[in-house]
Amino acid sequence: MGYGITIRVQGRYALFTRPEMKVERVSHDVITPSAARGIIEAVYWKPAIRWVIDKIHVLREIEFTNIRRNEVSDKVSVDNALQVMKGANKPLYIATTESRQQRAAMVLKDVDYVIEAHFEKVEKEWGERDTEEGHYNIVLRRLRNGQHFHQPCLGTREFPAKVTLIEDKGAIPKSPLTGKRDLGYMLYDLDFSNPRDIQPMFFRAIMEDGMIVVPKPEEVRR
Amino acid sequence: MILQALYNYYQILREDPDVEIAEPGYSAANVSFALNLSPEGELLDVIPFTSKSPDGKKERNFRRMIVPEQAKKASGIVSNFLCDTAAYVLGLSGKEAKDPKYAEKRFDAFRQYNTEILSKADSPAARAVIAFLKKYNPQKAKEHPVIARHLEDLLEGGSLIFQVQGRNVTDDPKVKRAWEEYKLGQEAVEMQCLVTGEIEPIARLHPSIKRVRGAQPTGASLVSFNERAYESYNRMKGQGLNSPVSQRVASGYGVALNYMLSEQSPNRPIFLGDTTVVYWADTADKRYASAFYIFLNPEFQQEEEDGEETKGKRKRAKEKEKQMGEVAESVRQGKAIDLAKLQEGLDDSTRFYVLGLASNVSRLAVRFFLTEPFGVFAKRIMQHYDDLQIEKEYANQPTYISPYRILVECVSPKVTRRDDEVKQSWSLLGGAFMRAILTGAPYPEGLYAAMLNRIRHDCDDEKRSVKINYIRAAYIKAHLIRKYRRQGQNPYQEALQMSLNESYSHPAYVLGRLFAVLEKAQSKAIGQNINATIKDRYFTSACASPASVFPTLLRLAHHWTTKAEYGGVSDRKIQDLLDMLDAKPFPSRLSLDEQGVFVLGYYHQRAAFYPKKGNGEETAE
Repeated sequence: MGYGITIRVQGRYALFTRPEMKVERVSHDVITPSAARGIIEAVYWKPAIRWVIDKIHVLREIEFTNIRRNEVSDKVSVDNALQVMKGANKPLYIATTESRQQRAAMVLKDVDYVIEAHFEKVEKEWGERDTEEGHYNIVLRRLRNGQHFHQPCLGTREFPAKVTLIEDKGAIPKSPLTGKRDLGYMLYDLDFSNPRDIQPMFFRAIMEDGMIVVPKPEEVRR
Repeated sequence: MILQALYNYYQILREDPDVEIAEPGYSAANVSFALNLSPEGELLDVIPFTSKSPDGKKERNFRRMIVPEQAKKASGIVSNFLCDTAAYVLGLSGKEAKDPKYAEKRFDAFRQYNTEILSKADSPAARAVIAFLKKYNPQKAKEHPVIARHLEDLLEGGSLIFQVQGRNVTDDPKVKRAWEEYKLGQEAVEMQCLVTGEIEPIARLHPSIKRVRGAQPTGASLVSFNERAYESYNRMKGQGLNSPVSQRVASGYGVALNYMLSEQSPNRPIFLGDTTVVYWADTADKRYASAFYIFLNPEFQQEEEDGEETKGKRKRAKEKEKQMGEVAESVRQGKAIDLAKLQEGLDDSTRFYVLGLASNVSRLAVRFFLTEPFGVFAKRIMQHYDDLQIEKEYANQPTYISPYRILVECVSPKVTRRDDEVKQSWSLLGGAFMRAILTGAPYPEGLYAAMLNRIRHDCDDEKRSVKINYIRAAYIKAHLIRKYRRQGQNPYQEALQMSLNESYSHPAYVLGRLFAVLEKAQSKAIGQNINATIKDRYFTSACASPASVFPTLLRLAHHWTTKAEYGGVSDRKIQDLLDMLDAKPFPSRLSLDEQGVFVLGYYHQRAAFYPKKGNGEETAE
């Protein structure tokens, strides 16, 4: 646990889709732990480590707006891809003109979060040359240089995130939010422990003075 | 958040003795007939149901009843339990020409489905229905003396239920238990419910929400997944499994939402553009919602209370009715809504929810969902009305302009079917406008642009539209106030007042005033019956690009002032206003904000020409 990092994530818009309203999308009130994990993984991820989110600080009032945008109704077919790999001649694309649909979305506006996270060893993948100090220093360097594997985003790819490292935990800006707010059950992450039956996990998000303490995975998984 | 709040409200409704709502596994439906059976399963009679509409005006040929939850019907054959149409229950249909077996197939499905569930219930009522289904032959239906008598009515449609010895079979306790066991026995996939957090049986299909404007009459779902792109982790065709919501919660939120949208609810939904707004407080006390409704529909309330017939018909708690009536009275007299009175006995800190829904054919989209303590909403709405305050043209104009009226002002007068067109024009703006009111944010820019657009294009026409009227001026004022409120300083502060500000020398404002003076000079000189006044002809360009129009107008003004009887007065006024421009040339164009200021200058100046009849009356009181 000595190897925790603190990052600040900001953006003009964000959309952390609620599972029940993912067709005409509606966002969760704040960033979900899995979205936060995704942002850190965009910066640095290796099979040997697993990122765990500890705390989420919300630095701005929660504000929503509505947009409409074009989405597609199809996914690339896995079956087709497999058949093409075996030599079949099938289309591997989605024609956006054919499957385009206009959808309404209720998205967050002007978000600003501080995320505290740490990584844990994945014993199965942990090699001889892996050291915790090593991974820690790599992620710090990458964050300081603004490097990432792919553009970190706030929920969906249309909404890029600006990620900065907070070196000193004491420097976390104070949240304007006060009091206790119950945000209801919120998506925690997906439980991949049984790859045939991937289950979503939910946790009760309680925000106190703008801070959400995220439970440990063991507490959420039942 | 949304589902959770709705589910909480469902639990509140369940505790409320005044409200009749369906338990999980049941839903309300319109039933037109009852088939009265003997205990041996003989069809004795067909009893048509009638009832009065909730406002007591119309006689209807159905009755609203709680029946076992009905399946969603698309094109396939899906039968319901104990309550269905004549095609299913009796195998009777007018559509037989197309498919000779149309009704027969449905009756078979109904017979099989109902027999299966009823056979688990050990009661005389259940046995009677089974016996009827066994004996009944749909092919000879038309020869059956009882059916023949009601054949035409039955073919018209409407649902049927069964009665045995005068009692509804759906009310039989053993039949109910059999249904509940059957219902829960199905779809027993258990997952963590995202509302309660418990591991529970998950609803595969979510309830239909009816009466959202623009949605299909059979109802639309708030939660549904119809395309591959929305399905996650191999939950193909899994529908509700893509977002685990327990059956208990799904039917609960459906009931709560349907209740609020139904005629049963004392508080109607508010329709704005394509957005249907429902609202509720976290308590059984309905006064919160009533107060909210009056806040947003002051005029509507007025009409409502005016009609003696409708008065008192609404199912508001009786002792509260008077209180609300008094508030409506004060609105009619143009007095301020008495916040204190309306909120008397209401706790400002009670949580209040406002949900804006819009339809997308068979699915609902959430336009906004706001939750604040009640007092916060009340304050913000009053703020909205305060911002809109501007001098009236006529004393009988409403002091409080409802949001709907403002939206209507932005629709072309050429549109005849107003409601439909309003809906289309305001697909997003209606919701955004409402949200701005309820959050205290600036109004949407699009609405402002649309308002100026109407001012630009409309001509004065007594019947249909007026270029610049009270509502448009009020909206422009409020828009500019709110736009700059958060920035601390408003560049047009001095124009954004109730009435004329003679000392404000912003060119846009002064030019607006000048235009009003010129218009008056013209009408004095030539009279009222002019085919096209300078307002019709020049207002748009004067407002957007003054430099191109004002020189012409001033030249014309010279002719008018010499012709008119008291031309000298106008001449002096024109001169005064020109002096205020400080010998600056006319600006070549005005920004959108400045155009608004121009309109306000024009409106204020014109209002200042006439003595305040309205105020005179009021002071005379």
